[in-house]
Amino acid sequence: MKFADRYERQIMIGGFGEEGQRRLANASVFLAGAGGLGSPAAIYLAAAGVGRLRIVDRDKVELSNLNRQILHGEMDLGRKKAQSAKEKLNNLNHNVIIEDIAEEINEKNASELTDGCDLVVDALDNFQARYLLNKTALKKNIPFFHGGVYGFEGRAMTVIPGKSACLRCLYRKGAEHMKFPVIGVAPAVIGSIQAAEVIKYLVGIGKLLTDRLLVYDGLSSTFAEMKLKKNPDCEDCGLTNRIRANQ
Amino acid sequence: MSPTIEIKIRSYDVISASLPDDLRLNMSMGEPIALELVQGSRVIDIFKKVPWLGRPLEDTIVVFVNGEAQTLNCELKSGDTIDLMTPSGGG
Repeated sequence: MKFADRYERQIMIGGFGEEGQRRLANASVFLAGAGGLGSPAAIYLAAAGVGRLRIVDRDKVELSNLNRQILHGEMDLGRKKAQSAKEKLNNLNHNVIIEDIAEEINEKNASELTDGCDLVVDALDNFQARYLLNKTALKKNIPFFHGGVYGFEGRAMTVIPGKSACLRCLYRKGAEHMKFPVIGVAPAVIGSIQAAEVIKYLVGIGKLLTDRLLVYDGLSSTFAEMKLKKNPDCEDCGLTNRIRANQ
Repeated sequence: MSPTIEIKIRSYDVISASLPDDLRLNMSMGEPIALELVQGSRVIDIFKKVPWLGRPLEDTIVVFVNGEAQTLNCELKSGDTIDLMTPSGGG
């Protein structure tokens, strides 16, 4: 099976080409979460041919996940999500190296878990871990692709360290971790947008969602774009910048 | 009588969820609701005028005026559209 045959249709895209495909194949993506956002993001990144996908998710598949977490099915109930995801993604594209890590992301392991990865995809369901990875990505100077959903709504933004607003610039304080209402199509849209942002970044084409928050309202089928500002006093990126300047 | 301004508000996520049914449905159809305020009003004054939007949640609420990030202290003018949201944490 030739490399160019499988990815022929995306290679045809102006500005993409075989060079773009090679960049994808050489990339290592850290995916935090294999749930509602992580499922579509992982599927489209694997289908596009990223080289390595490191999937970290501490949870097991539950019945209430199945309305939206499309990498998992009834046969996976009780199974570790990271492992379930790896199996389906291997079936989709055996060329992608999938690492499945069933661990909680915390202060002790965040840096090590993301070592060797070119970027971080936020497919999480809590702000504690989101802020931790936002800070980790800033320290490592690697992009952070944020996504979040609620009900029929969703939002996405891309963080380029040192250049654009970070997650903390947008949300000074996160929401409490709780059971949230959600229909599968909302993370489907946002997870796909996150995958698109990652692909565009790696290939080097298009315009990223930097200093922009894309807001999707599925009930009205509308998208809105909000302009963001980098906060010079941000407790995450403002501090990182000051540390770098003093080094 | 003090001069007034007319603004429009859109809300999202848990803010929308706390609205009365008819207002929530209108907003979720993508249409903002109109509100009259005294000239010189700031974003925070929306919450005083419309108690069903709940308390300002200063730590968590995110405000955009005409699509640009602003603070609760931002002064409003007639024709402004205000988008109010809280962090969307689901994944």
